[in-house]
Amino acid sequence: MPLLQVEDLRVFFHTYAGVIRAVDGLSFSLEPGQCLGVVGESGSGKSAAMMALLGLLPQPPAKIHGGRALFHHQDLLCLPKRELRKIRGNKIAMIFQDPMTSLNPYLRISTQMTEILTTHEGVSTKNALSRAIAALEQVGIADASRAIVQYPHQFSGGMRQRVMIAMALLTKAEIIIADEPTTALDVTIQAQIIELLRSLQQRYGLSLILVTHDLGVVAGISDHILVMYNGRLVERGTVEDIFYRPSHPYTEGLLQALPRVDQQHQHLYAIPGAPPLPTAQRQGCSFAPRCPQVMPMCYEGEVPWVAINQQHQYLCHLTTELKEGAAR
Amino acid sequence: MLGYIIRRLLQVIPVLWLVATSTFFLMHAAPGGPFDSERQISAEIQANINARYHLDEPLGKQYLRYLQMLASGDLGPSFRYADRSVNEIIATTFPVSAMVGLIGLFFALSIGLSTGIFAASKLNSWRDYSAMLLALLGISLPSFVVGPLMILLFSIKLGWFSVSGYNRLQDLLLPGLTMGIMYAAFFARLTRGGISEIIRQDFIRTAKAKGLSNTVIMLRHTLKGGLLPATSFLGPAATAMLTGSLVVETIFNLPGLGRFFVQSALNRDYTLVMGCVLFLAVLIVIMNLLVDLAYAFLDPRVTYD
Repeated sequence: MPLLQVEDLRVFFHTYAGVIRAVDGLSFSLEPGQCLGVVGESGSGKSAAMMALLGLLPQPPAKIHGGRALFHHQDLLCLPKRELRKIRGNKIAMIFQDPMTSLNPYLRISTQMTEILTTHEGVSTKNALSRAIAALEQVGIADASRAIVQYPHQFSGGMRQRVMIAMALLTKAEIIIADEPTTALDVTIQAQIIELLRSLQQRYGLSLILVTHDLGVVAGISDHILVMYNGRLVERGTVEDIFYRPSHPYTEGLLQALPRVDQQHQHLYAIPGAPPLPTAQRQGCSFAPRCPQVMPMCYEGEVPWVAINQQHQYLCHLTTELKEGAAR
Repeated sequence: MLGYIIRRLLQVIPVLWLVATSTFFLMHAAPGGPFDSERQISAEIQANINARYHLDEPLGKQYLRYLQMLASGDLGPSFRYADRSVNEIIATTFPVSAMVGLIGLFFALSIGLSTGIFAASKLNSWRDYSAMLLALLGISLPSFVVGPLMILLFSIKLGWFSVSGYNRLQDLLLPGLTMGIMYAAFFARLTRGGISEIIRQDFIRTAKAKGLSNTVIMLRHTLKGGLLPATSFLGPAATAMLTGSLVVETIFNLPGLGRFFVQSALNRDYTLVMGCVLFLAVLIVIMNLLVDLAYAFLDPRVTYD
């Protein structure tokens, strides 16, 4: 039984410019101990979906228009605020994109860490402090008992992200959602943070949702990958499926756009065009205007799911047979 | 930190010299003098008075004489109130103004901060709008309207306080409240503004994601940063309140410093004007130092050394 099962999640933003369908019918499930990568470009709705699960989107302008998110037989989307607070930071922890702004600059690290334990487990401050120090040591912060009384501005970006990860480890959360955990960091630090997440995931059997626009980040750590485009899921599969057998033209384009060390390309491939305006009317496949294999039927009606097997599916009119035909 | 405080306090000396110099020459440049009046007095008497107060000497000499006096901590005799020194006037009137000011400050902070927090706890809701409407009213209503209304209600209708004058300590409550209301309105707006700025930050989202309650988020995560704008305003506001207000002291007929300050300028009471200005300057420097120290307390990124 999956740990988290999301069905047909719809999150719309109601703005003066019109309705933005940020997440439009997202379904996925997360098995215990699994690492799920969610990839997509900025504005594809990947972060909005994760925030919606924890009730972190400001409403208004955001509004959840439907769907279910089952976690231990409870639907996260309709839990009362009080009940949801007991899950946030406790059963489901979140790591945010920018560690420079995600920690409170006015409070000591110790305060920001221990308050999680005193809130959710009601332990004494002293007890909480020793556990917080232990968590900092787990994420590789040297001299943790001295570091913990410092303020965030005394830490580097990578250190701060380690603190955020330590916070997520504190309560032994069942699910950790990492929303672009490496985007704001230097490349060398990125690798360290991903390595840290990978080793923690293996050591503690964490269930991890890794949201990123960087395919390189998900490649080494994820079991399954969801590819999102313009608020919709367009392809899902195991990490091998996505990297070796990409089936949706968008995923293919993304992979072609990756720089490769074994080839001396002068120019990096770029998917032509730009994502549609978020407020645009949705008719047919939203990738159609940029798709190299577009057909007239792509611009109208509903796009069907093509199932290659139980785990690998994509949203496209191009069935596997059609593709083979074109290849021949 | 201690070194910083001492250095800041030493800065008072050049500031005072600059203030004293500019006030001295500005006052003497203003037309008229302390002993001009409608009534004609004989040239002989005029000359005697001028000689008594050294007004017959060249300005430069008067200036040096004044600085010399200042250096010994003497603000000189009042030109207007014979037999009273400026030190004495300030020493007797400042406690009254300061007491009114302290009461005012208490009301301003307690009403202002709580209204601001109340409004910011649910931005753009009816409670925000109604609190800010009240604040607008408080800023817009001048104290010469609020004061008499207070007297009408609390002194005449309810009979709780003296209508006018300063006989008992509680008579300072109404003037304090009158003065406090306007500043409370400023503090309410600044607090609301400061908090609404912090509430948008990423780290508040982190706090929510940790499962903290709204109360904890407001008190622990938002307030420290949210109070910074109000803290900056606290320095000048406290100085202005402690040194008294002409309007409030006139309405309530109090022997406070604010009235003497304004009167002295109209009377060309050179020494009293300069004494008041210098006293104010010292207070402002001290208040600003206190505000800067409060800043370091609220925001750990601010350090002094």
